[in-house]
Amino acid sequence: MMHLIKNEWRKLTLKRSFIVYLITIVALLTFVAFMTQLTNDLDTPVQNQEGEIVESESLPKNTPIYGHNQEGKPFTTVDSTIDYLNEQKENFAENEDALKQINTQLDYFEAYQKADVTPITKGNGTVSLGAFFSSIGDMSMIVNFLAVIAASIIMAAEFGDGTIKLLLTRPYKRSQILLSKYMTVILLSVLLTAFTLVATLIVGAIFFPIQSLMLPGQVSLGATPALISAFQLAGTNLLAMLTYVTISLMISSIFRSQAMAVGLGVGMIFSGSLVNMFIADMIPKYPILKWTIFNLLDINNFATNNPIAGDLSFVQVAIGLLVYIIIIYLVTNFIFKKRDVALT
Amino acid sequence: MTEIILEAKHLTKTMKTTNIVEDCTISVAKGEILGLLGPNGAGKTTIIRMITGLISKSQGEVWINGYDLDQSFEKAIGHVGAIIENPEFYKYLSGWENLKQFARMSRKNITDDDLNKMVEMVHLTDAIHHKVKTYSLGMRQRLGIAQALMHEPTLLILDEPLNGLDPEGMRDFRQLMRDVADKGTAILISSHLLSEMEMIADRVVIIEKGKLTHNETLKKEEVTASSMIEFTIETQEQAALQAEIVRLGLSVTKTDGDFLTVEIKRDSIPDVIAILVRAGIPIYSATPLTTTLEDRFLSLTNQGGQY
Repeated sequence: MMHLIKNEWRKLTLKRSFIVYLITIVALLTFVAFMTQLTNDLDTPVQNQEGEIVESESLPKNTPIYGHNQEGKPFTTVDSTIDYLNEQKENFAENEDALKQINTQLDYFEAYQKADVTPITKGNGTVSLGAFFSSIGDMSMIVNFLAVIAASIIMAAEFGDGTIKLLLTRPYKRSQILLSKYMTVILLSVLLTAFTLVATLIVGAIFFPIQSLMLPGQVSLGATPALISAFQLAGTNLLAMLTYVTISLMISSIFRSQAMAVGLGVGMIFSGSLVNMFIADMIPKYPILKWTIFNLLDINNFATNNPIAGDLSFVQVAIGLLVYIIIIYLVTNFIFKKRDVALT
Repeated sequence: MTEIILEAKHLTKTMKTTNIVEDCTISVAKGEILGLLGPNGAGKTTIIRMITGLISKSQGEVWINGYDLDQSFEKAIGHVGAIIENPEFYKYLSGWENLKQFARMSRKNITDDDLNKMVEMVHLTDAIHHKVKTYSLGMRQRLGIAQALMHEPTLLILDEPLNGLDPEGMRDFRQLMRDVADKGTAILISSHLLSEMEMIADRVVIIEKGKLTHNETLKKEEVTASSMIEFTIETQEQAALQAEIVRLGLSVTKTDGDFLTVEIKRDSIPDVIAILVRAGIPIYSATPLTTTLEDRFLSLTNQGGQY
């Protein structure tokens, strides 16, 4: 089996497209970092609740802004922000959702207060390395794309090039051949995730000011250190990625067409959020829909502190996805074993 | 008796309702080269794909080296080396890396030295580290042969292996196949190149519309001085010739215009010609008759075209 996996890995990595995957990740990270910096440098006018533009008192450049009160007066120190949030807590004592949000923000600022560090926010024209890293430079969807493409090619290319005949006339069972390809795709998914984490750290360090990664990365994530947030997101995304690649491997085994497999795989990633909008509306009426694969694939919401429709817990979603993965793989295995390798 | 390496019994492949291959039984003995001959679309490749397990059999069984292909696929197929249709490889990898891939999958310990010897044998030493996409068809064929032979299979299956080989390559290929067979490997070759098949194969089965129609040993019978052969004489003086033939006590097997075919002992040919010449019969040509496989094959397929 190790021989088979080694073969698959060499076939994958000796292809020129493999380098292209890695370059794509670095290039897009750089682009995102550059654009983040560019847009944050623009002065956005401050609006009050009625939407009127409020003349804010001119602050010296690079003064941090953590928020504005109702009159549009900016907070420029952690202490004043915390005071304001505590005030708000009393105002919203009955509103549970708002209270939760305020508490999360309080956690964030209090962590910085405790460490005696001034958080770098968008308000002063940039974000910190921690903020960039904790969202992995918004790369999760891109990395999923690349993994889906690789998983589609790994099977479809053998059929397309006719090399499948060479592969299936060796002293191995078809299920072993399939498993070696699947293992390789899993290995690739893990490696792409790790590569993206490292690349985000390096690109982030070049573009953004560096603060300890043990400080919180984002206001919306409360006191969670940036490092932990990044790993949480990488972990949940890896589970989603494994689901996507398993489906892609199935599609490419059924249709044996590279174009079809890549197209359907990428389409699935895109359409997921669209389908979810409808599903989320229907879940109150038909609770069973919360177990649909599209809803479960929102697993990244756990890492970004957003709710998942149907109030499923992380463990429930993770197990749900694993069950889907196993079923899809077994179907693929069944089809692949039966398949006639027809005349080309 | 000689050991049977491949035994394919009653192979049948049904697609929808039509039988692409019907009840074909083939066996190849140790050291034997069997040619599978048939026009395009006759079912040669389908048979070979069933024997290699690439497609399922509707009926029948395949035994290789005493292992049932369905029951113990790995053991059975481990003894097989094959080139099926075009020699396809991972084009973006070098020839060497391709061979390494198959060596790793062989379940045998094939060293780099072994591979180097293979490469040398198929004359690819200079190009082996270049990418396969730069290879000509002939070079790919030779790489395919190296791939098929590296694990010293007891059964070699070659589907149309001669496409793309130049005359020199074909000669080398014939010699190589002879050597491999002499070492005890059973070889199954499919082809529609009749003349080549005649030169390579010990025995030929002809397949037509999915059915085996002919099974013929090509082992050239030793032509001894006393063996009877057919002999055709061309002359306009047919009457005189026939009178002379009857007087000599030879039997006529066929007459056709100016041509007369008789059965005759090989070592009496010079005497007969001398007698005929002395009798004043003008002889335009005198040819010993040999039917080639091609003649038989074409006549068979021509019949096929009529119904």
